Amino acid sequence: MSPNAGWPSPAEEELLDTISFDEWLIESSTFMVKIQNDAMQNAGIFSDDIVIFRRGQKPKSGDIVIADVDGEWMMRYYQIEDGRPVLYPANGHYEAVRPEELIVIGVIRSVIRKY
Amino acid sequence: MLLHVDGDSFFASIEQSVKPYLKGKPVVTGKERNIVAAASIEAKKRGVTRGVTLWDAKKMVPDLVVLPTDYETVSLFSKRMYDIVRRYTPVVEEYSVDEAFADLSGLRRYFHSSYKAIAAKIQNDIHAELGITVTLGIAPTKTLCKIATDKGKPAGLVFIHRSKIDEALLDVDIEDVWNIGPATSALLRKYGIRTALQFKQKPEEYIRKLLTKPGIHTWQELNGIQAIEFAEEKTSYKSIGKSKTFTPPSNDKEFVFAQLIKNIENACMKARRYHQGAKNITIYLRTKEFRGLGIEGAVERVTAYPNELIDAVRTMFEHIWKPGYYRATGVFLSNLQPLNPIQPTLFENPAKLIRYTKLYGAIDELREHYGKHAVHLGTSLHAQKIQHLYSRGDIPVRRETLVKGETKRKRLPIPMLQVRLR
Repeated sequence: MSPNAGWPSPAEEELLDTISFDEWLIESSTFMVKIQNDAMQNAGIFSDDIVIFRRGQKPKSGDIVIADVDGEWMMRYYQIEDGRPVLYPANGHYEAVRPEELIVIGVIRSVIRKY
Repeated sequence: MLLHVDGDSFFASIEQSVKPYLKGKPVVTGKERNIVAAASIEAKKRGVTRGVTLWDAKKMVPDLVVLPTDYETVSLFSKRMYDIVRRYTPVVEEYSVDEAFADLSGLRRYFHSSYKAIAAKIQNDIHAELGITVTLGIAPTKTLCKIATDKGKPAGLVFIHRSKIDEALLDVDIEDVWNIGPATSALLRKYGIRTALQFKQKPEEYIRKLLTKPGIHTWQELNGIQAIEFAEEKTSYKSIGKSKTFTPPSNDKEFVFAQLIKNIENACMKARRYHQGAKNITIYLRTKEFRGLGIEGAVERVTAYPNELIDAVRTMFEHIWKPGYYRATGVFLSNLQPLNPIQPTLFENPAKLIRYTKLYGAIDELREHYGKHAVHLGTSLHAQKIQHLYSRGDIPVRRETLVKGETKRKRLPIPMLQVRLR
């Protein structure tokens, strides 16, 4: 014990039930990616935002996903319609994609914008 | 039952994982050193192997993608790979940056599944979450696990059951067995032992006469007896090694010495982080022709302060230095012991020791704020400068795509996908 060890701070114990920003944001398989377009702007994701997504997570209808469509990577809403996946943008200038083949890379977990 | 996890073309696969446009392309890393450090499966298929010069590799594969090594991203992946294995068993040895051993014994009932099924889950998780493939070997001992993995490369899963060991060893050359070096295999070949199976089937007495302890351990392991211990958590290191290659090779004695001292500073830094000090130090130099020269020395008492090592190291260096071109230097700190409290030797001035403790406490704090080599010995100045002489394209992309708030020195500990999303 070092000579200046005293009583533990009473605040210390009360903070045991808190989590750090790291724990809150980073999960075991999260990756980040810089957004460089406005395809999801009506969902509140803009160019220069940092998106944190969970790689390998199975998507549910309504999730925002990162998907590989024929070697083209995109971020879109994922919807199942008539048993088939459709990728919807959140911007009227883009069109919905109904891919023949689709690989979902991961599901978006958070969006970070640092001013 | 043990499991060996081995990342396939680890460094190159990670590049393909964070840069999806490189999928399916021949990729190598090692640009900063001018030799192939890792080759993707596509590059390997076309004849590129580890250790060849980039010049030769490009001749073989003109469309080769050559990248600098991104140690930071590799380390993030490495840690995640171990963590995924740890979801299934707490007994995991982080054997190297791209390899791990795990003990699966007793887990079948817990997971209601076979060893193979547990291993397949680990393999799937790694692929889904990291976007890279690994090869898995399951066997009763580490040495057999390594053989299983070799057979399964790439992306396979091979199980060597205790009753099927002989079959597995039949076509394995003796020099391909883990821990059998060129000298040992040459000796064994003289006695007509060419395959792992022939070696395994010799009586123990015969092997004991021929080989020393490590060789006997290998024999036991091939016979299904665990002889190589399981090194679990690396909270304290048995030895700390640091080495660095520089390009181009140099014949400048003081430059080579500076490189060596920089490695010593790095190794000491790591030792201090684990509150360890060394009693033994080994230095080595590697010539342009890849020949290694080394020497080991001992210090009077445990230390992790470069100032205390420098005189001894100079003497050792003078001992092995021969004029010529060198491409790398390295250092091993061994016989590690807790650093605090250090017992001063009989004739030592304890005040000096306290000064070093304080000095390096301060240096480590400066490092926290200003980066790894904020303060260093004058001797290594030569080697410090070269670090900034990166030629274009030698810096990993991740270091140049910073997000707001990141600095050149420090980045967020999450892999970044390097892709322009549509």
